[in-house]
Amino acid sequence: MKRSKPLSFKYRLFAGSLVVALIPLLLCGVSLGRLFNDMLLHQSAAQGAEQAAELAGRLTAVLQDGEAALETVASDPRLQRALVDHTNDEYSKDAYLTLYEATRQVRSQVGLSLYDAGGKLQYTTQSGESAASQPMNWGILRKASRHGGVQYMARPGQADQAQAVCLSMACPVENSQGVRMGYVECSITVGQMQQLFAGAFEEGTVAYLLTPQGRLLCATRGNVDTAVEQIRAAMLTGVSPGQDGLFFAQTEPASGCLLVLFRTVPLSSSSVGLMYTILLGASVLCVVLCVAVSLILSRSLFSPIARLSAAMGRVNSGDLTARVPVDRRDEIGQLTEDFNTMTGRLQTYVAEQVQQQKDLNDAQIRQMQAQLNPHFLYNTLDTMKWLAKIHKLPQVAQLAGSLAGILRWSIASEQFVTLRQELELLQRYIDIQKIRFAGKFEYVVEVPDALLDCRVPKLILQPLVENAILHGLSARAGGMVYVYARTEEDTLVISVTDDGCGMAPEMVERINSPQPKILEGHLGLYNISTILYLYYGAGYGLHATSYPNVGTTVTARLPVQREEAPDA
Amino acid sequence: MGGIGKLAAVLAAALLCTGCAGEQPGSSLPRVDPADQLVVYTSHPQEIYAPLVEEFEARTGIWVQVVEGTSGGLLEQIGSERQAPAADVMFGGGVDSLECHRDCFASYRSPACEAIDGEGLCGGENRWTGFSVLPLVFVYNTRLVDERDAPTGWNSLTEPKWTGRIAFADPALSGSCYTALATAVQLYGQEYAGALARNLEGRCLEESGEIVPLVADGSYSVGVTLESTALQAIGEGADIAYLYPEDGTSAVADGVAILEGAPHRANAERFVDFVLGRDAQSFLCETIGRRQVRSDIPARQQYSLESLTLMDYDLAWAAAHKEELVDLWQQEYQAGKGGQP
Repeated sequence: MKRSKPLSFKYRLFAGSLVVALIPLLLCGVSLGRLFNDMLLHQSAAQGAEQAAELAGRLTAVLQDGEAALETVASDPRLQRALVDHTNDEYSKDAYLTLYEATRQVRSQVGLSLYDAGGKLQYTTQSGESAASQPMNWGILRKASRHGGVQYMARPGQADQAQAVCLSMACPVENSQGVRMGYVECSITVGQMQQLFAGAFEEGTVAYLLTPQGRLLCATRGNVDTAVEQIRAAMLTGVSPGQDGLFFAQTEPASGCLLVLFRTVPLSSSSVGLMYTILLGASVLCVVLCVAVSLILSRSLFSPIARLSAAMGRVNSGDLTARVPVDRRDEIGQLTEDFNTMTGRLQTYVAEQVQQQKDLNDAQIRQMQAQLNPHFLYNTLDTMKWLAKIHKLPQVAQLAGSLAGILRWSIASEQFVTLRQELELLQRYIDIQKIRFAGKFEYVVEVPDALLDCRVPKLILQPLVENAILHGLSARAGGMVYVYARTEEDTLVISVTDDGCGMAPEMVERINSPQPKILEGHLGLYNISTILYLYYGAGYGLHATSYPNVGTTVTARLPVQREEAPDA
Repeated sequence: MGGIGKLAAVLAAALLCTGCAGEQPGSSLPRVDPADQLVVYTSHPQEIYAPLVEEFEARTGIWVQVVEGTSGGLLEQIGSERQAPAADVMFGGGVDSLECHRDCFASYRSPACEAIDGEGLCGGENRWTGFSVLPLVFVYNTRLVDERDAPTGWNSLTEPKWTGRIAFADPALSGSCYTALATAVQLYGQEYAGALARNLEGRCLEESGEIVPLVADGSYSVGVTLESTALQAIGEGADIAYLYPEDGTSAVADGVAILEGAPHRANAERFVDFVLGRDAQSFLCETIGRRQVRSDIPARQQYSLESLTLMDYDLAWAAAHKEELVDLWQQEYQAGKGGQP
């Protein structure tokens, strides 16, 4: 139990710091990565579409030039003449001259070939080997002969041969009477096409020129058969080509050929992987930091608490001197300080309690000392009383009887007596004193019957009255001692008043002080004061008022306590 | 902890949202209208089908998807896909093989059939049509076999001197070898099948395509193959020669057929019309060097059917007895193999 508490606190701290640190990190990392990727992707998509359009535009421009050349050539009478008679060297030279002139603008990009009406090749500017004839019922010449005008024909399947023609256009050559003399063909080889596309895009991008039905004419890279098959399958079935990249398709309007641009994704999977690895690394670091922070924090919290807890254990087992050094200014420091203050207060309080007990014990010891050989004294007095009665000395008998009664009371073990008993005891004392000071003073008791059953500490009135008689009335005769009891709410107030010479002011002051010191020659008053204080605590005790030559009143204040059950 | 769980759920949802938000741009490949598509199963080599298909595409604008395979494999596939055909046209395969699977094909009489009048070229109920005529020939390695020693007829192949030296494919798998077997059996009776099977001595091939290369590299001395295959190999410079069997050869055509339930029926009809049409047939004859089926195209001299002895090949019999013959072949072949040490 004791171990699990700091541990659970540590774990909670760890979990909290982990949530605060790791989740924003992951969230930021992943969303930033995605955002970045998306941005690059969109940018790349825009660029790709632009490049595809640009390539298609280049091709269109070349084809337009080609068409213009075709029309120029087809209507040239020198070529028509050469077609009629190709054995004539002059005509042949003229024909080549015309062909070269017509293709001056697009010389490196296209080749022109001239076929007679039977499809036999007569003149060509295209370098490399060319078929000597083309069938009239197949391919480009069939299309040109059947439909007239400029016709296009794509020739797939030879993309790996730079000299092979991949796209050609042709139109019939007719003389002024509309008789068909032959055909002129403008052809673009794979090599020429690749040159046309060169430099339009960065590395990693591949341009494919496809027939209108998606077969490869040429590509800017070798070994693309599989890729082209995938592209074609994607167009046929609508499923993704299954390559890590983007495709952009553009149809060249004149020939109907498809231009497909493939761009690798801007963030390759390896760089995305690197990004996520970094994120993972940061997360691990974050976890380690969280562990460290939660360990340090919990330790810095737990060790002062453990010290505090140990100190509390010591206090618990009674060592009130336990203190914890305060070495920090935070809440823990405050708590430690409060603990020290509390323990200090507790220590003072206990010391006071001990002192009180000691004082009470002293008073009791003094009281017991006063009871030395009381039985011996009592028996002696009793003997004296009986001897006096035998010898007819009534005053002595009364003195001895009263003294014996007082003595018996004073040695009785009860600490408390009723006010009635206390007054009886007082009466015996007065009896003695009246014999001693025959008729010198008068004694009046005025106590309501209701208060006679109140419990008071034993022998508290006798010393007050004795004080009044000895110190107040000593100087003159005919004095008066007045004992009066009343209640003020729950407080029993008993006053002893004399009309004597009065009390010295410093005496009054001493009696009225909250902690009266021992009064020289007034041990009785001091004892009563102490007894009242010890029994009832602050708020109760003696109070004196005195006026010189008028009199002195000493008042005892104590709580009203009725006689309990009869057996008490 | 419950609070943390909730927080985690919210964060996970947020992550998912950022994941979904980025729509993948690009891949703007246009989709081809299914009405402009055609799927062709072919057993022809690429040299033959590619120019035809490309010209067909250029003329019609139809996107043709070609699936290559052996005639046996493709016909088996067609049979298994009968409920929902993936292809429209079976292009290639001997018409006897097509006849065996006639139930898979739809009846279609192309207008081109008017010009095709050869025997066994426009098949029963017009479910298939012959595309080119393929006489069977013997090939031999000119370094191993002298012209005088070369087998002259089907009966020469059962001679002991050719034991284990004949390149012949399993008639169960190869259409052309089954035709060869059926031709010889029609000439010499059922016993011939066993005699030939035993004479292979367990060296039967899996595919008829292996025959010419293995004869050319000397693994076998003689072989039975189609005229076109032999011509093509000779054109590529292989050290082989071919001859027509004196006792008569069969000239079974390979065919073209539209599948029953073809998804692109109209396009399939256009394709059949095109390959049987004048342009394609004369291209076949003049550029590729195969015997055409049309009678309105003047055949080249060397391809005239009059120059070789043709036996009267009974296509229906061959189709009807295929299973029986193949079983017999297997038994005898295993026996011949078992005789090997």
